[in-house]
Amino acid sequence: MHISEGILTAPVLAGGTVLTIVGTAIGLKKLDYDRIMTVSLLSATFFVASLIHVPIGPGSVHLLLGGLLGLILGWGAFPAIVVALCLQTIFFQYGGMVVLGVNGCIIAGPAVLCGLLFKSMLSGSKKKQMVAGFLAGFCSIFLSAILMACALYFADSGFLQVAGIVLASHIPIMLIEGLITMFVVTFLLKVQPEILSINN
Amino acid sequence: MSIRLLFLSACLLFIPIQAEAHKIHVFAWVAGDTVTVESSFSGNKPLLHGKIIVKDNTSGAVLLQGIGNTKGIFTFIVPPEARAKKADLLIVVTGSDGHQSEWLVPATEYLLEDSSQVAEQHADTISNAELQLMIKKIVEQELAPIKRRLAENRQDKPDLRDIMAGIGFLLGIAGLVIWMRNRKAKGAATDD
Repeated sequence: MHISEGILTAPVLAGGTVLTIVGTAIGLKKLDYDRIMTVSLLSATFFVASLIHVPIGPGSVHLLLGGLLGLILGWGAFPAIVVALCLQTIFFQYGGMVVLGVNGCIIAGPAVLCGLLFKSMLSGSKKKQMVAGFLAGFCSIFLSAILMACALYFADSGFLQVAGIVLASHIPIMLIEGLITMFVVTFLLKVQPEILSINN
Repeated sequence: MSIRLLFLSACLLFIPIQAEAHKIHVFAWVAGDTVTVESSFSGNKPLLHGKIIVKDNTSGAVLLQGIGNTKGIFTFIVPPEARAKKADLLIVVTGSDGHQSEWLVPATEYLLEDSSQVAEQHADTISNAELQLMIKKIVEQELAPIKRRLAENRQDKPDLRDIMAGIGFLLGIAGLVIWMRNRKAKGAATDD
């Protein structure tokens, strides 16, 4: 999910950077600073989750856990993911500093969106909570893959071909992330619902 | 923060330590006048049909390009113009899903191979030249896996130190924010 340097065109890089700056600024403004350690720990979780390589499908994909971050942190997921992406670039040479904006936008954007979309379902029945967890994990990867295909489309030709490859390679990870997010969310709702800002 | 949250986070953090990196791994080695490029993902999964571009590292001019096979292998003969210029070869490998990696083959690597060919031309007798050629081929054959292994070892892979440093940075940033907020709050309290 990390686009490398030297692939994207300048307008895409500029657009991604602007969106990421805006998203991070909103995230920092809306961040509850009393939960800063939760943000930090989830950022660290995202930082290392990308090292879990899933050897299924035609490409090489890894965990992101964006949906989980979105559900727990809301807009706060944006700065948490961007900081972790920055450190991944420094320590693991994933992506690059120039493409940090685009990568941030691709990963953090859907994470926040899914968090905001499915959060309300967490107050419902247990079945609804499980569905919300699964959908948050599944859809965050799905939307990230679509955004990635859009970014690559401007650098390459044939949106459908690029989108097909990106989506096909991410289908296993969509399902895996859906399941992981579902289990983690249901576990948290059982033992520590206040983490998700839900008071059962 | 509760112990449960810390425990859960710790579980999530330490699961992937044995896992591998995710990016295209590229390495290339020279045998005779042929350069072999091997591209793979984590877990030695070959990069299928990766796009390979060979450039002059100084000028950035494209010398040749091609597509890797299903095993992630692409071989090419050092272009005569690169040999004439003694140019370092920059090999750029691009995957279809936005990943790209590079590998540099210094001119000294293939010129070294080239000088052995010159020695071959100056051989006194045909039998000597043939013998040299045979020895050279055998040595190249024997050295190929070692060269591959050496090239593979030159790659940067994330290790435990990198992972722990990254986590440390993130916790440090949180600590810094808490400290700054406490300082601000204390300052406001003193003003009152």
